[in-house]
Amino acid sequence: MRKLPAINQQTTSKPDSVVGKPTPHESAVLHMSGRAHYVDDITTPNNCLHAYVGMAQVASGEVKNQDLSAVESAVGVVDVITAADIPGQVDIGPVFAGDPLLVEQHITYFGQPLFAVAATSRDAARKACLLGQANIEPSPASLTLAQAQSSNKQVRPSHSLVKGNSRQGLANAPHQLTIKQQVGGQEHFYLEGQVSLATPQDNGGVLIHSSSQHPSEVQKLVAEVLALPMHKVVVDMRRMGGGFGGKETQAAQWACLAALLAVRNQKAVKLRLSRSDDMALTGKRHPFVNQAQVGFDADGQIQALNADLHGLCGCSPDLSDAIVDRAMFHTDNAYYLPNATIAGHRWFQNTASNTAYRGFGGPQGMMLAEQMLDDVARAVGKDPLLVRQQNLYDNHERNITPYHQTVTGVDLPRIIDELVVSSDYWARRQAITSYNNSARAQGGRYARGLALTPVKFGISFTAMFLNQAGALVHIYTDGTVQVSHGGTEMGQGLYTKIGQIVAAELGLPLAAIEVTSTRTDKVPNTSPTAASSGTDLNGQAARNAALTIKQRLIDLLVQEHDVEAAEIEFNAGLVTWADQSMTFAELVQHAYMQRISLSSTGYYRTPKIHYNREQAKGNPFFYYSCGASVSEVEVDTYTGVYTVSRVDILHDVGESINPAIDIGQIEGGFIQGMGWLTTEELVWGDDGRLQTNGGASYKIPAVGDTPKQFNVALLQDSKNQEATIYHSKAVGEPPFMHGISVWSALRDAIWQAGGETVNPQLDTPATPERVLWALQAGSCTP
Amino acid sequence: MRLLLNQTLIEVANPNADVTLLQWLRECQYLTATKEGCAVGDCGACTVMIGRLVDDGIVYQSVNACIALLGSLNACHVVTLDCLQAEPLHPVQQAMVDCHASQCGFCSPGFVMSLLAWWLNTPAKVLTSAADFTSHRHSVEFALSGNLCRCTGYQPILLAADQLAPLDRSTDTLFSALGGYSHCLGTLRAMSVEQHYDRVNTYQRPQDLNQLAFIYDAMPEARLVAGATDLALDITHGLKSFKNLIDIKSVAQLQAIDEDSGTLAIGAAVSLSELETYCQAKLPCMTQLLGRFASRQVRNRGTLVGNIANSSPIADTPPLLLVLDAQLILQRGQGQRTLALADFYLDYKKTALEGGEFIHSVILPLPTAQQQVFVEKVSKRAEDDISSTCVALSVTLNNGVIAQINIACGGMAAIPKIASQTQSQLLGQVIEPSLLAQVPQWLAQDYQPIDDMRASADYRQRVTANLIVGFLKQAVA
Repeated sequence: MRKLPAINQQTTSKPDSVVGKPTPHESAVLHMSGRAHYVDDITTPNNCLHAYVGMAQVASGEVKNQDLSAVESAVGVVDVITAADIPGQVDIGPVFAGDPLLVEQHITYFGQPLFAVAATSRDAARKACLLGQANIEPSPASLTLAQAQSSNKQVRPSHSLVKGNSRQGLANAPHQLTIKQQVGGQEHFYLEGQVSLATPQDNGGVLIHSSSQHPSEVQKLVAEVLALPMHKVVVDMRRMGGGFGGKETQAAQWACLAALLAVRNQKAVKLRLSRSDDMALTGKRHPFVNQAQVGFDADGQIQALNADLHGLCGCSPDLSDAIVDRAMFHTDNAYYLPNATIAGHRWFQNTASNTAYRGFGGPQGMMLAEQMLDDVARAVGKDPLLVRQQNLYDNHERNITPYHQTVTGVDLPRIIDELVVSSDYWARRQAITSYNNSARAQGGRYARGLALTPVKFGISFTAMFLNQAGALVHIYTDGTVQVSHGGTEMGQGLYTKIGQIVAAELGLPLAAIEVTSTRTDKVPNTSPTAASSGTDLNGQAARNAALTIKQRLIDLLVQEHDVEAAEIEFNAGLVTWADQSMTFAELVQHAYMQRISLSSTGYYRTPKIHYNREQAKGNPFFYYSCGASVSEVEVDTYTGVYTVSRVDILHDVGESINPAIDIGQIEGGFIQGMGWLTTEELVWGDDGRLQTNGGASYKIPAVGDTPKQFNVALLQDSKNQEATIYHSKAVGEPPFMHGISVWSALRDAIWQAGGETVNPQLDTPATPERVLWALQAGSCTP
Repeated sequence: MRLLLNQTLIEVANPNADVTLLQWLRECQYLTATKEGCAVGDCGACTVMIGRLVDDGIVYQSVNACIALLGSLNACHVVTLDCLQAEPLHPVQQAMVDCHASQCGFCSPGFVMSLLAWWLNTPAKVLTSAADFTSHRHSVEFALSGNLCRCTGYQPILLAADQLAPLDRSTDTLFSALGGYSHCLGTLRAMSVEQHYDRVNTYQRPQDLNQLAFIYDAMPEARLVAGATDLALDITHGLKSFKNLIDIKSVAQLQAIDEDSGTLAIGAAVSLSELETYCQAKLPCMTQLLGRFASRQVRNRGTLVGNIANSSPIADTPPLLLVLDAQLILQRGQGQRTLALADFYLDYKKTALEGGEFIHSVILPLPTAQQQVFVEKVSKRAEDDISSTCVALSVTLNNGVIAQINIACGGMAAIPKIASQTQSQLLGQVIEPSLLAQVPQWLAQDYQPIDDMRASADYRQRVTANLIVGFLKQAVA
């Protein structure tokens, strides 16, 4: 037998296929027909029980005892459990301890679950939960940064990035300024709330349908809570009705409770939180207080930054260590800092534990960078765009980050140049200046503002081991294909892209590929679908699995026909070589008859990355995803109410696998980022109770908030210089930070309304009220 | 009770008073196309269409199933997305697919249903001019004002609506999926003449005024309900149970808006959407204000009288009604009395209504030719939000002198309240800067608002003063 040439598995050039096409979301028709099943839509057995939790009515305290007799005797109640009923581990903290499944003694936030109930209906369970009597000795709640600082209470130790000598750099700089900004948190407001359905199995185990971004972690935690080995627990996740980070760690609690009650009662148990309880009991984006001293020259060139980022973490570590780290990694955003010291602090509050949210701390760090650039520009009397451009990283000398990674493949100068042209920035700048001048002269009511802000976002989990993925591909004897992979679908189009990738590699139409639900019994030990990494990791793993089987098929043809492997093409459902061809299905059937395995796993790990946290040095990111946006706003000086009239975004996704999905991520990310910085305000009472606990009081953008002119484009002729899947770039999180241009434009409008005399302080969210006070500080209200 | 669910006639035996349509659809009918996102009418994921007989046809409107009580849907046509399952897709569904208008898809059924209602109620139009496009987008934003999407940022959904605007409505496949329009109409007509009135029913639907007055007088502890857009929150969010509800929506005498010599009489069963349409020409400031009132779905169900009777300090309509000197006709048993709206609100959530007494109608004088009326609602978000302050002002100038002035605000006190101090200071004065400069201090005597999650007291004071000054400047301009 002659030696067979291997196909080049290293190539990542894009096959001529469905990849790169704007194919619809794989579930688009199901979505529009209401047939797409979410966890709450799964048909349950008739005897399914419904679980709910009894909630603490203080934010801090000790449980002395609980009288649950009224709960137990309430209508429909079948089972009531407390922490004492947990057979295994009580703590379900994802990385560090601190998140009890049910309170054992210490209450750390308002609403924290004290007990759980299973009842014959959800209504009965919810009503019964109100009947619990807890004897609690309350203690003073720590709710603010000042309180945490005065008791020096951090959930994890502080950490710093140091490059050059920022003290010396500040002292040597001709000009200095200080910044203090408060950046608000954000509720995820996924449209489908937290929900789990647990069904006991005859092997003593349990099958769980959980709306989770991290099925493997749910599996592990359920096993630990139940004191079961992991192979007795299966988690199945077909799709979420939105995640945004809120279901990365914080879906687990509801799955564990449902599983525990299901196994105890040997009945299926569903636990679905109401919207208000979901908002009260789950963590949010971390609010930050950022403080900095900046040194710069008369031209606006930044020479040194000394920054302290104070992340408000809530009551436990959850993922806060990595989130504050990522904020620190993005305090430079797109700008070269010759000298920088960036410290990140992780403060405790008696609130639900703040958690992952699209951008994972990056946006909060970036806010400091963008305020810095605007403030420096105003201090030196230049247009902020010019100061931004002159401070950008280049790919040659000014290219070392505060964590000592060399920036490469960042094309922001080009992106900004193109966007300045397509958005007509300078002509609009002029028009806005003259509009504002005449409005000020005539006592006009409105002021306009314009801003361009860039985004440079590092791609990879900063927890190194998470940068791996697995997939499983089966080819059936009719030529159809099933793919499973470790990623979860939360609307971002991951399944669609995976389908495109496998279809491309096997030369099949999309219809031949079925991407099946994400299950821990198909692909084990998966990473969360987070950090924008879903396609990068799982796409490569799925591709590798498909290539393994494809290689077996090629080997068979080479063996049986006088053909070079390189001559064999898989395209449009046909396999062709020389002047011969057969359908893919024929080849598959033949392979089956020849006893060739038609199933394979695939695996991928991200190359090149390394990071030494002790030294705060390394390459935590495989590459950077970049873009820029221009926003124009109009502010009502009577009320502080504003509208976003036009937005232009140019974003680099490398070679897009699916431009429609990528544009959707950019548009949606922008609006979500805008909401974070404008109308989405979280308010807690002095008792630690979340007051904005519903859609009536917590305002995410509505249809009228979409800018009247909204131009989103993908950077053309761009290719990820790293060997990512078809040289594409991750797109989930980076566009979120384009929302910063709206905030920056609001500051510009306020600055101009005040005759360019008072640099506006505008904490976020920049509600109409904050905008009005900023206007008043610049004496520009009537 | 009976209702037509998609194309199936269904009889529901004596439903509990507090069962919502959404609960019933998902848990009793096993129809899961309608999603629960919030259960309080804020997100629209549960949007369905409700068809009612109006004159000779059926009018379909978008409604939040999560806060619509099942008992209120007697003789209605409930249309859910479950009816549109065939290929090819309905044009609305197809446009949404074509424009990539779903990501997670959880909100999509609600958007499809809201767009479907918009599509049925909006004639096809080719969007040739910029003005066409603006008015088209305006109508779409109104139709979708109660639907939240957290993934897409709405742009592709707006593009889908753009694609639908010029399409021939006769291509519609909805009614063939429902067994034909005449089947629906015939069923609704048949149901409307049947009387399913059960004495033991906990959800009562009196058909005429005497019946309502009799029942309520005999059972003053029962709760009156119209659209239930607020009351249902006590059920789904507050976990309360209601044993006895009296639905006033079917009372024939309460369903009309009558106009007589410059005065409107608005019946208690008139929905906010009906009022919004009626006032387009008669009282544009009311239509404009209602455009900011909750969402299309809520306005389709909620009533003006409900907004008054609910006696919330942040109710949107009372400030405007107060500056127009609205009056209420109150009824108990066979007796009626007239009360100025200004005298109706006694204290926080406390009204002048006596036991067994209900609001029959609102008497609303239209502005005179010389009278200028201004109203502005200020909130964090334009659509479907609760006001920080809502300021209304009516003024009549005579040679530059203020001959009449009414000012009323919502969100500034425990009740919707007239700014009597400020009014009396301004009356008879000439509008000039020195006068306007004193408005904030007079207002501070009228209002001592509170700090809450929506706004601070200082902000409320400042913005209210700014708006009043702005209105007066506009009035002289």
